[in-house]
Amino acid sequence: MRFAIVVLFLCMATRILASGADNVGNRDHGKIVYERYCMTCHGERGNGAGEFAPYTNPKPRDFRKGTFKWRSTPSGSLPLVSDLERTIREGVYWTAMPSFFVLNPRARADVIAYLQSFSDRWTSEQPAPLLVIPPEPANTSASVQRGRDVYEAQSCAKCHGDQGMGDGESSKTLVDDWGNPIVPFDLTKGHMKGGSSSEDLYRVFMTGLNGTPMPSFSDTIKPDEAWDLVHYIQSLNAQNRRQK
Amino acid sequence: MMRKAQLLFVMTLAFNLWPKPAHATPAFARKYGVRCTVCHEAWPVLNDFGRQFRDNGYRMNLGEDDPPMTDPAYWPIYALASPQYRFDLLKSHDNKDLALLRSGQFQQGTFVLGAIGTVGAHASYLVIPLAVVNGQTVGFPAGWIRFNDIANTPWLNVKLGQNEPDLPFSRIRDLDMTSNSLVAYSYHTPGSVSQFDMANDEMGIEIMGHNRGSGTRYSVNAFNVGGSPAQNTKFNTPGTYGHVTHEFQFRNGPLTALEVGSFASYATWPRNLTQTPPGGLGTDNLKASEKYGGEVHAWFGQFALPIHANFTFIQGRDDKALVPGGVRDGLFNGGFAQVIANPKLPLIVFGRFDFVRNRDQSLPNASRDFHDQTGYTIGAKHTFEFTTRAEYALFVNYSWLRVKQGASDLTDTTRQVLSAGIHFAF
Repeated sequence: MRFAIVVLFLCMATRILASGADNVGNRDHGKIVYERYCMTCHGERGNGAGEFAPYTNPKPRDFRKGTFKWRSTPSGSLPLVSDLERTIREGVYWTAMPSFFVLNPRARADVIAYLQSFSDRWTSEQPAPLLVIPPEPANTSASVQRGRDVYEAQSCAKCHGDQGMGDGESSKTLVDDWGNPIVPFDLTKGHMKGGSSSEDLYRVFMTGLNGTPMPSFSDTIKPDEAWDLVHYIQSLNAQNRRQK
Repeated sequence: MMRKAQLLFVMTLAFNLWPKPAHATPAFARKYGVRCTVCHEAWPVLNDFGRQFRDNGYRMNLGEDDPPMTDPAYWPIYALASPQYRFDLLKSHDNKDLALLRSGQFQQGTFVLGAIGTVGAHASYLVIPLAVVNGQTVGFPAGWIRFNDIANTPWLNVKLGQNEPDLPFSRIRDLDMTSNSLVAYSYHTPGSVSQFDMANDEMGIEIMGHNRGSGTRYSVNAFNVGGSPAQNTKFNTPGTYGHVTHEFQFRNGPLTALEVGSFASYATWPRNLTQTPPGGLGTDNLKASEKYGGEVHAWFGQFALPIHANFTFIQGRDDKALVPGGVRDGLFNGGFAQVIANPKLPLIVFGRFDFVRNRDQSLPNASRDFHDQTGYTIGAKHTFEFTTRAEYALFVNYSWLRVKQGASDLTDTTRQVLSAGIHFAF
């Protein structure tokens, strides 16, 4: 019997020590993290078809394409691991994706390693270089007005509506890359899905949201115009707060 | 002891060979589309995510918590039940053939019907209008409303109503279904008339706060001690409880997280129920029992399949006036040490050691070890189905508790309880 107890404790100690041996990205451990926290939405096979997926809007991400919305890399590129880490840590406001801030950083790294296994892109490609975000200029009324001009010139109102409320003429016909209906974001709601800081907004304009109709404007607007657009969008939020 | 270790070993092996998939208050699972495993190491024991969720007032804080934001078809109603077979055996420890109590029967276990959720962006509630515990109906065992993030800070939340204090290890979230462990929470020095139980739901107010992620937390409760004379009609037997915790997380090494905490309670009780006012139930007649201590939690191994070890130490004191014939304040040490292991997602096994050791007896002729207690509990739970809608699980628990001089003839007693049944929730 003593032998059995010794074996039991050795098994537990081995498991403990083995789990501590990996600094980052243990795919096997990530599978368990995924099963515990992610699978009901993203599905057992990472196809975004978990049991709760039919009740969500927008739909959970299908990891098999290796296409991600929230990146700091150019449109079409894989995201950086730090981008995935940020999405997992902060969650996505106004969606079913919660913040997993409380997960141990090791667990987040493990689950990222696991979800990378759903797409071959992670073995055949490298993420493109990080988008460089220039310093933010002063947020002035002139900048806001110029941002309004950019908003009109880039036809943002076509989807997001003239007042930014997500009610543009195309808003009811948009679909994502998987054919699911998707509605443009109401820019007056307050919190932005991918983060509300100026840098977060700038990043969205210049990288786009892959898998959705939201394109990257990096080829059509200059950095200072992007900052003006950021200031205009922020003014829509401020107006909304004042009206409330 | 050796026999218990053998049993633990065999059960661990046996359950590891079983197939797969554990649970949550299903109302939340349905609302947020998460599995019970998101918030629980195994139901009902909370993990870090679940504790943060609870500390946030059962909100995810991502814009989807307000009732107007939820699907109109969603109802925040849930039910739990645990029908079981239970075998009780109370024996004289010294005379193995003398059974003071022997009973085995199928029981309803615990049945709870409740509602829980949010009534606004900054207000949460729990109402349990009905619970049945082994056939005994308990009306309104718990109900509260909580105002969250007062002044827009998570450091200030106020809960009003009847609720469990923030314990080192929650008793209503215990895996053990035998009710024969965690004895230090309710223990009083032998002869004390106080029935204060630190782990009971109490009617009062709780102020608590936490940082993001609930790594650092505090709670302070003020309440009227449950079960006291004229309870709940006025604040006639006041009590207080406080608890602070801090958790450290580790990225490398076998230790995933370490939490330390300390707590204290002070609860009054009338020493003489026969006195009549103004001297009777007034403050002059109130005497206190105190408990204070600390706890350490350590999580080893994989974050998603942790081995959770916990040691909680409690020192208690009862005023001698609470003990008829008492000659000095009663003083005792107690607590518990436990390990909860989660070898596979649907499986949880646990073992616990309980102890109470008296240091100063209040009764003049009592030996120092009079009513000392030693207990061992082991158990396992295997969940067969866990979805965003419901769960059901098989559980088996066994506990053994020895009380020194617990029998009327002052011989030691041992109480053994075996319970096995199905837990389901929807």
